[in-house]
Formats: sequence, structure tokens, C-alpha cells
Amino acid sequence: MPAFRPRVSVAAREGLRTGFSIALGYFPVAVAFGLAARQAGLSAAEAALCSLVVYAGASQFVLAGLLAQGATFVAAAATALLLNVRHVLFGASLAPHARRWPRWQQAVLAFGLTDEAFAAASSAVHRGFFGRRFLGWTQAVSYASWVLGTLVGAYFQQSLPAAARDALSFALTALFVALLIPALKRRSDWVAAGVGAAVAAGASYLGSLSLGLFAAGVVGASAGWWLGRTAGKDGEAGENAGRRDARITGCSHEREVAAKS
Amino acid sequence: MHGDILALLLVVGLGTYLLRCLPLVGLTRRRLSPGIEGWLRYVGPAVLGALIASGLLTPHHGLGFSAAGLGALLPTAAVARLTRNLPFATLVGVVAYGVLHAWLG
Repeated sequence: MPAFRPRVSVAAREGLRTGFSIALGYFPVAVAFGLAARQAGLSAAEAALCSLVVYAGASQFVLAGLLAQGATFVAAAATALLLNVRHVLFGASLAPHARRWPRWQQAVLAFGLTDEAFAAASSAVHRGFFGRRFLGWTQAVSYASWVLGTLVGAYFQQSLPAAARDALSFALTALFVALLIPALKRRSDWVAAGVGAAVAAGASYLGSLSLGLFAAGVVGASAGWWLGRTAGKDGEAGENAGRRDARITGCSHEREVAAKS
Repeated sequence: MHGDILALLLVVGLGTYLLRCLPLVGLTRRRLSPGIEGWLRYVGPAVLGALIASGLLTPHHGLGFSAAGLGALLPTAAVARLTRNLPFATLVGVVAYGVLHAWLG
């Protein structure tokens, strides 16, 4: 008798798991944004709308701060958008893996391409189970937690205990570590991550962390790419590591394609 | 809801969306050179490294790093490496950070 197999694809299950991990980090940050937005003079509806349509943590906090200081329309919009320039890299990086998707699905899934969703997507690419279902479920859960957290912050404000807020403030960093570690397969990956970290730290020291993240992406990727090109056997070792990793996680690109069909 | 705030949110929302959407939709229709595709492969690890560093930096202290954050890195990385379980590794990191933050002050 054939074994019963539930029809939940590997990609959807991984997407949900990843989405809940991101939500663990998003929720307290979104609560803090809801609180900050109210303190900046926005109504609860405006705070919620900001999370619904902008959906970009750093620039939302900056918008709230600028509005509180009475910044002009142009200054507030330009500053918030400048903070999000780094997102250009995200779409470009995922584009080669999204070629077979219908254009409307590319357009829909691009909306939720936050730092965290991109980090999860990038890790999924390296581990072999990136796809529409993975990205869709990851983004759906993350987006819901961001909007819900904003509403909680806007309406209930200081309801979370301080100790829990402190602990949860590390959730996104812990998530990034958990995403990065399995993606480090080649020496050049380590170099890209290390150089990216160093550039971000330097930019933060100079007072421009958001532009620093963009610079870190460019400089770190260039360093990793250069090392990967010059190290002859590096690519082969990475390929083998990738296959090993796909076996460990029980996922493969082929399975993802089969699940989607 | 104020009209100017509504307009500002819509402009920033639309601009942010275009920054995310145009490269994804635009670049899927053209074949990139292997060199550029190879370079783009490293953007993920580089951005993740940068995000981790920025999460460990203490605000307004120059290049100061959070001791609790640095301490919580090891168990998080170890659990991620051993289990490859994302929610569990994240939770371990949060608990480790909470304990260290309460302990170190």
C-alpha cells in the first residue's frame, strides 16, 4: 500500500517556518514602530497604513522621526527612499532565479522583498529550495506580523514587559545568523560575509548605516566574487557542498520544481 | 487622516515598491552574463554579514559592540549549524541574549 503523503510542498513548509522565524523578530519591532508613530503624532490608522504600504522598517522609523520634527514633504520622502536604495540589489540578485515565474507573480512577490525576506530567499537559493511558494509563504507571514505588531503598538503601546522586549530585540540578528550559517559553503562566502560586516560597521561608525548596508552588499559581494574566481577548486567544492546540504535538509531544486507543478 | 501624510505614505510606499520590483521584473527578461550572475550570488552572504554586524553594534557608541549580542552569537550559530532549524536557532539566540542581557546589564 502506498504511504500517505500530505500535499504540503517542501517549499511551502519551509516558507511558513521561515516566515514565523521572521515574525518572531518583526513583531516586537513593529510594536515599537506603532508606539513611535503615535508619539510622532500619527494616528493609529496612519501608523497601520504606513506599515501596510511602505513595509520597510528603517525608513518607517525615520519617517516617524522626521514627521515629529516637522520635516517637509520632499525631505521626508527623499530621506526615506534613500534608505531603501539597497533594495535594488535584492531584486537584481534574485532575478536569475525567478525567470520562469509569471510577470504578475514577480510583481506581487517583489512587494515583500524586505531585508529579512531577501536574506531568507538568498539562504533558500543557496540551500536549494527557493521558489514562489517559499517566498510567498515567507512574505505572507512576515507581512501579517509586521502590520499586526504595528496595530498592537499603536493601540496598546507599553503592554509588553521590558524583559521580553529586550530579549526580542535580538530576534532579527539571531535570525540573520541562522540564515547565514547554512549559506556559508565556500571560503569566498565567508569572505563576502566578513567584508560586508566590516563595511557595515565602518559605515555605522561614520554615521550612515543604511547607505553602509548598500555599500556592504556591493563591496562584500565583490570581495567574495573575486576570491571565488581566483580560487580554482573553490567552485567545485561549493557545488559538492551544495549537494551535501540539499541531502541534509532533504530538499532539492528538483523537488521544489516537482512540488510546484 | 491628514491628506499630506496620506500622500507622503503613498509616495514612499510606491517608491520603495519600485526599488524592489524593477530590478526583479526587469532583469528576469534578459540573460545576465555569467560574471554578473556569479557576483550577484555573493550579495546574499555580504548583506547578511552586514545586517548581523549592524545588529550587534550598540547605538551612539562609535564602534562599540553589544557584549550580550556577541555572547549570543555562538549558541545561535552552533544550533543553526547542527540542526539547520531556523525557528529553533532564532529562539535559542533570543533566549541566550535575554539571559546575557539580564546578567551583564
